[in-house]
Amino acid sequence: MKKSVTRKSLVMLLALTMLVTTALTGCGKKATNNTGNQTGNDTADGLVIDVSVGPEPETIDPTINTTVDGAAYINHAFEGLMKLDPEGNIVEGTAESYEVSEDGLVYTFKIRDNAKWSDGTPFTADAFVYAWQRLVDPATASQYNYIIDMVKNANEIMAGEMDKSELGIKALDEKTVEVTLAVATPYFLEICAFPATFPLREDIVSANPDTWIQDASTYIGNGPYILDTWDHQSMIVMKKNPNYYGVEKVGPDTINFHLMEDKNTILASFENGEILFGDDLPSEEIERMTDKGLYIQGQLGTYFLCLNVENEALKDANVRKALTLAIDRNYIVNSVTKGGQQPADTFVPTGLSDVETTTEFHEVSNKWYSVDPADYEANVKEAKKLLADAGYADGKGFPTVELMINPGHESIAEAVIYMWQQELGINATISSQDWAVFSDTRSSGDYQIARHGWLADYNDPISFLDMWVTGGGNNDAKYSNTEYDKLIKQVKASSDRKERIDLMHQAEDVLAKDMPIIPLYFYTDLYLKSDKLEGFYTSPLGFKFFSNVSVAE
Amino acid sequence: MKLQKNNLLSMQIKLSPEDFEPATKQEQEDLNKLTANTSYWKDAWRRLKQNKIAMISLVVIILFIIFAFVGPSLSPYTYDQQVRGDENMAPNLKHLFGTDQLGRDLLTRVMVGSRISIIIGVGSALIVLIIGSLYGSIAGLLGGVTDNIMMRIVEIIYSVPDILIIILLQIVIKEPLQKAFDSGSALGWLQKLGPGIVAIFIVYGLLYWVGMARIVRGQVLQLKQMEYINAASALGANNKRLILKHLLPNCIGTLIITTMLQIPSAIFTESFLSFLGLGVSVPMASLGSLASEALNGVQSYPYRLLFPAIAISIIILAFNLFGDGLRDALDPKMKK
Repeated sequence: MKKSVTRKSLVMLLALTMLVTTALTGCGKKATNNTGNQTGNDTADGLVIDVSVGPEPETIDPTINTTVDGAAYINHAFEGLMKLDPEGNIVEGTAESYEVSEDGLVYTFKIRDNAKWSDGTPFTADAFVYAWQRLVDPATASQYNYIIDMVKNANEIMAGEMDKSELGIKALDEKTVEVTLAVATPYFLEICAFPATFPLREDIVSANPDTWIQDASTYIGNGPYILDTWDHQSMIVMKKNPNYYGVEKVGPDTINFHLMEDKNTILASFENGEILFGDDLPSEEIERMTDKGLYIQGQLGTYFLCLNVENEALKDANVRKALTLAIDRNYIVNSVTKGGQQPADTFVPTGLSDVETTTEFHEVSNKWYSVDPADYEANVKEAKKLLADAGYADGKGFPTVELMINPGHESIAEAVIYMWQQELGINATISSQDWAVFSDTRSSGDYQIARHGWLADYNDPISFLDMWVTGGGNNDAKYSNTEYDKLIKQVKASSDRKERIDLMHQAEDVLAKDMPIIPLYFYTDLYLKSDKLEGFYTSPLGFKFFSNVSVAE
Repeated sequence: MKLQKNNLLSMQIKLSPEDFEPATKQEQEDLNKLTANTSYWKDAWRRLKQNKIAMISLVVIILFIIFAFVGPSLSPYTYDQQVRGDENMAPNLKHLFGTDQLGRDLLTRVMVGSRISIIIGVGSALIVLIIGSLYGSIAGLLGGVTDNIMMRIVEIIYSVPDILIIILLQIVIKEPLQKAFDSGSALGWLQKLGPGIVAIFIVYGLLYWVGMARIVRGQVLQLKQMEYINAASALGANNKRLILKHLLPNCIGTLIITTMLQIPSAIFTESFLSFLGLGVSVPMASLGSLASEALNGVQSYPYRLLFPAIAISIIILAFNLFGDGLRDALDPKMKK
C-alpha cells in the first residue's frame, strides 16, 4: 500500500486563512460542520464520533483503491471472507467457516446464512466470484491484481491469455465459495481479509463501474457501516448498517470521517476536541504531543530512496553503496522524523515473521551495513573508498545528482544531501513534485534518485521482495538481475515455509549486493487518539477500525 | 537743454544718474539667490527630505539591504549548513534567531531569504519597467488603430489570473529548465534558486507589465500634445528618438514611482508562492518558504515563524511607504 501523502500547498494557505479568520471573528461558533452534535456524545441519533483518517480519497472502490486511508472507509463498508479482529487475528468474516484441502490448494468457504447486503437483499456467494474476476480483469487495471496471483489462472488472466471466467473461484451454491490455488500459499487467509478481495454487487458495479462509489444509494456493501453522505473535500459520514449480521455488537451509530490533508489542521482539530482520532501530525510537534494522545505503533513498511540504475552515474554498484553508507540513519530518525522509527539496515522491515513465527524475518536476515551509531565513521570511510574505486575520489568528477521528492519530505532530503555533500563531496539538488506527478515520474523512470516508501500488504516478506523483479510494475529502480528473478520465481512456486523464507533471505542478499535502493528507516504509524475513545484498533498494515469503539465520559 | 515737463500719463520714468551705477556685491548675491536654478531632482530630494516617514523607510531599506547582502558573509554559518547538536535551539547567543530541526542557523537563513526576496523584487520590477514602458509609449505615441489593438491585448492579459498562470507555468517549464541546468549552460547560477523563481520572473515578464504599460500610455498621450514634441517631429526626429529622448525622460517620475511600488508587490508574490511550496527549491530559503517550513512546528517553535514574518512585513512596509513618499516628492500633482 502506498503511504498517502500530504499536499500541503493550498491546504496550508487555507489552514492559515482559517486560523486568521477564526482569530478575527473572535472565537465565535465552533467549526464543526456535522449534524450539530458534539463528538462522542450520545444524542437522539445515538453515538456520533468524529475522526479523521486522511484527505479526500481518490476512490473508495475496493478493487481500485491503493491507499491506506481509502482502505479504512472500505473496511467499514465491506467485509471480506475473513476479517481482522481487535486482537490482530484473522477470523471468519462473511464466511462462517472454511475448509482447506490436504494439499492446501482448495479452500471452501461457507457464507453466513444471515449475511445481507446493506440494502437488505440477501448476500450470495457469486459476489465474491464477481469481485475477484473484476480484480484480475486486465480491463479493470487494478494495481492490486497481483494480490490474488496465487489463485489458479490468475496470472494468465492478468496477462490477457485467458478469460476472467477461468479464475479459480466458483460459487458451488448460493452460500458456498470454492477457491482453487495454483500454489499453496501460507498467507492466503490474510489475503481474504484484504480490501481488494471484498465482495461486490454485480448488478450495481457493472451498471456504473466508475460512478457507483460516488453515490450513497449505489455504494452498497456488506460491512458494519453504510455510506450515508460523502461531502467531497469535507466529510464522509457512515451510519450503522442495520442489515449487518453482527449489528448488535457494532459500536457508534454514526462515524463522521473528516477529510483532512494538512497535518497542522489535523493536530489543531484534535486539540480542539473536534475529532477524537487523527491519523498524522507534524513531526515538529511530536515531542509536545507525547503523552497527550500521541500513539506510535510499529508498521510493516520501509522508507527508502530509489536509485535509477539506468542512470549513467548510478550504474556502478560501488557508487550506490557509497551513497548508502554515507547516510547517518540515526540522525534522520532522531532529529528529523522523530517518530520512533528504526534505522533501516535491510529492505524487508521488522515485524514480518520468519520460519518460526516467534522470530522476525529481519532478525535472521544478513544486515546490509551496520546502523550502530558507533560504526558510522567506519561506514563513511568505506563509502569514501568505494567512491574512489568507482573513479570519483572525494566526489571529483561526479555529476550533480537530483533527488526527487514530493512535498512533505523536504527535511529528510535536505539532511541526506547534506551528508552526501559533507562526507562524499557529492553535490545534489532537490526537486519537489506534487504527489500525482511525482508518482508518475518515478514509475516512468524519469528521475535519478527518488524517495519511496512501501507498506506491506500482508505479513509476508514477498510483499516487499517481489517489487524488484525485472519489469515488475512497481520496479521504479528499473533494477534487473536474473539471479534475483529466479529466486523470486522459486519463492512464488514453493509452498514450503522454510524453503520460501530461505529463498527470500537469499534474494534479499542479492539485493544487498546490488543496492538499487537505499533503505532509510522502518515506518512507524503515528496517530492521535483521545483517551475517551475505547475499543479502537489498527492492523499492522495500518488499517484503522472504528466499528467496535465506545466513548468514555 | 531743458527737460520736458512730466506728463502724469506719460510712461517716461524719472531716471537719475545713480540709476546707472553698477550693482553692489550685495545686490548681485540677492538676485542670484532669488532665481537659483533648482533642478527637478534637487527639488524632489528637498520635498522627500521633508517627509519623515519616507526618510525612515529609506534608512530601513538601506539597512535591510546591508542585512541581506552583507549579513550572510559576516555570519559564521551558511544558509544550508547543518550544525550537528544544535537542532531546534531557541534564540540564544550562538544562534540569535535560533535554529531549525536540522540545526541550521535561522538568522543566516532569514538573511539569505531576504536577499532572494530583494533580488526578486528588484529584478521583477526592472522587467516590468522595461517591457511596460516601451509598450505603453509605443501604443500612446502611434495612436489610432495600433494603439487600439495594443491596448486590447493589454486588456486580455489583464484579465488572465496571474497566480494560476504562475502555477501552470512552473509545471510546464520545470522540465526544460532542469534540462538546461543539467546541460551545464550559463543558467547554472539560477539552479540554486530553482525553476519556481525563474517561472516567477517569466510571469512578471508576461503578465505584470500591463499596469505599467497603461500608466505610461496615459502619460504619453498627454505629453505628445506638447509643443516640444511637435518641434522635435518637425525637425525630423523619428519615433524611436521621440520615445527614448523626449517622451520617456519626461515621464521619469511616474516610471520611478510605479517601479518602486512594484517591488513590494513582487516580494509579496514570491513569499506567497514560496509559502505554497511553489517558490525556491530547498535547501535554498526565501522568506515565504521559511514561514512555510515554520508552520509545521508553529506550536512548539513559534519563533521560527516570527522572524521571517517580521522580515516580510518590514520589507514590504518600508518599500511601500518609501514609494508613497517618492510619489509625493516626484509628482506633487498626484498628491491626494
